Amino acid sequence: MREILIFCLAKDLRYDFRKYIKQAVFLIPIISITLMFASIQNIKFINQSIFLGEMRYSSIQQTEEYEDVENCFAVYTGEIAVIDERNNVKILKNQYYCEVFNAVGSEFEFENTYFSFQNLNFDAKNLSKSEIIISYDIAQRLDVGVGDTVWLINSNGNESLYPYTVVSIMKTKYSYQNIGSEGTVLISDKSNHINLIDLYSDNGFKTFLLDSSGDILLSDEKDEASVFSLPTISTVVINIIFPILSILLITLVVARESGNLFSRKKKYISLLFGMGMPQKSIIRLLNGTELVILTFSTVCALLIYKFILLQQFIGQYVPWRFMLILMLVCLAAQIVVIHYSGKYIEMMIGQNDLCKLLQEKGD
Amino acid sequence: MIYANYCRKRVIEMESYICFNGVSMSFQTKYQRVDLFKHLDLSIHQNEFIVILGRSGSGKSTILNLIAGFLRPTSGAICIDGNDINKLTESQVSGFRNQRIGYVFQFFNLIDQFNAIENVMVPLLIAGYSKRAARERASDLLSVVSLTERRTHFPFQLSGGEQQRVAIARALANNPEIILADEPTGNLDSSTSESILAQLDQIHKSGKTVIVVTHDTTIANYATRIINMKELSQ
Repeated sequence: MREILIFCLAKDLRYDFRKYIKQAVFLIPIISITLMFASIQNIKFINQSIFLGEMRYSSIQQTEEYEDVENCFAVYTGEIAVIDERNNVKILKNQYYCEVFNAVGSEFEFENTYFSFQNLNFDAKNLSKSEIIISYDIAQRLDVGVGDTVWLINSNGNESLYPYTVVSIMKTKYSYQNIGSEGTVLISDKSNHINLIDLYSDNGFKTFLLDSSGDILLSDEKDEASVFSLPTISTVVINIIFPILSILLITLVVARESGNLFSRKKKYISLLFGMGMPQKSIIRLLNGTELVILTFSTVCALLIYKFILLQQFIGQYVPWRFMLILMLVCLAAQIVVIHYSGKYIEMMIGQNDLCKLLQEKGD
Repeated sequence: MIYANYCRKRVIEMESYICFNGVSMSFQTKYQRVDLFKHLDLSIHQNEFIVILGRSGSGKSTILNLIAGFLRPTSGAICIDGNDINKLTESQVSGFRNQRIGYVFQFFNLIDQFNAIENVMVPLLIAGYSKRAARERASDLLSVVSLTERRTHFPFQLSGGEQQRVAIARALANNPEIILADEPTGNLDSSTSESILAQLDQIHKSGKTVIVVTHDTTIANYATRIINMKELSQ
């Protein structure tokens, strides 16, 4: 029976290719948006304006000129990490008293690229000591996303490993420069910010923010600032209502598609039935068709989810490892959905008089 | 079981191949219960060419659907070759239909997705033939109905007569003992009808039992027996 099922499936997919593509085009945005809402609960949205100042900067006390620097962000003292890919192990290493800069891109060697580890004074309310925000660039290079754990290594050596959970990813794409403990460099377009350098140099624990207009604010002037911008939506909505609505939506959509598929294929089904194909095999054939469409739609939806919705739109890097897990979860969900859809089709076959359909004129 | 044995006995006694014993068929509409026929007794022997005549709604097609196992009677027993088909499971009925029944419909009912040869291949693949064997057999059957040159044509590329010939080839695919034809010429012009009837006659002469439901009294010329539904219901 497998041969006839594959034969019919292949023929039908080719014959109704446009209709199936239409169906996939309908399903793809629904699945991808649903996935986004279902996974939004894990993401802490950071207040990007803290990190982004849309202005041009020039360097002060900087030996090298950066003419095309576009953004300056989160200038603070504290621990800075560096990626070390030696021995095929990706780790993050602590540094002290460093500043961070962006838009220098590939001019820096990978080993000299640093990222910021969020331990700001203003942030204490929102970010626990075991949580970390990393840059998109770092997330991509380490292939880690929200919910993953990264380790920071104390500059004293490799012995002290501290695990941190990634709670968000900074949208800005930037590189970092290690200034080291010898001195501090701040890149800004405003020369009167030079006095801030002293604040860093003294004890290295003073912080300030850049607001959206590019003005630098000392932390004590803006101690209510938050790195996260989402607490306006209640956690009940995010953690319970969003996932329930997502499941409900997917169930309704798949049930609707199963109904449509049956209506479209009624005559075809009755003909196969008339030629002696058992009902079970007919259901298996329709399930197979649904599986192909759903798998195709899910793969496309997952790519849209990763590259457009999460990475482009929300600014959260989604690791490939996570995508694989998500794909497996989606496949398992599909099997459950298709099982119930099969029951639904069985019910529809029972309700429709197939021999009446055989006596009707074609579609 | 007791009834099936009784039925089998009666079949042997009567030497009939298909027998309806006290078959009643009714269905429920939205407003009322309609009795199509009550206590119908019918006996059909092997290698008969039966033509069933009757007005619309008299239950002619229902008889074919009952023989094919598409429908189950409200009461009574239908025995084919000694087996009560109402006692078979859904998958057994499907197997029976696939192996022992060839059905020709008024509206040809070819599968649009498949070309002529693939349409003939379907019942063979359902029966478990390999694709290659099914293709060879289907090709032979299309040559029997003189459609070799049209075998890769899709239904929409074929005339009504050609579609009906493909449908006949499909009905013959698994070499069934019984050929059921529901208004096989109902949608064809007179000359095409003539050739289709000649095909059915040929099938009958090859030793098969052919049962045709029609309004067309000219088919009666080919029949070994004519059954009038009006008489049956009385």
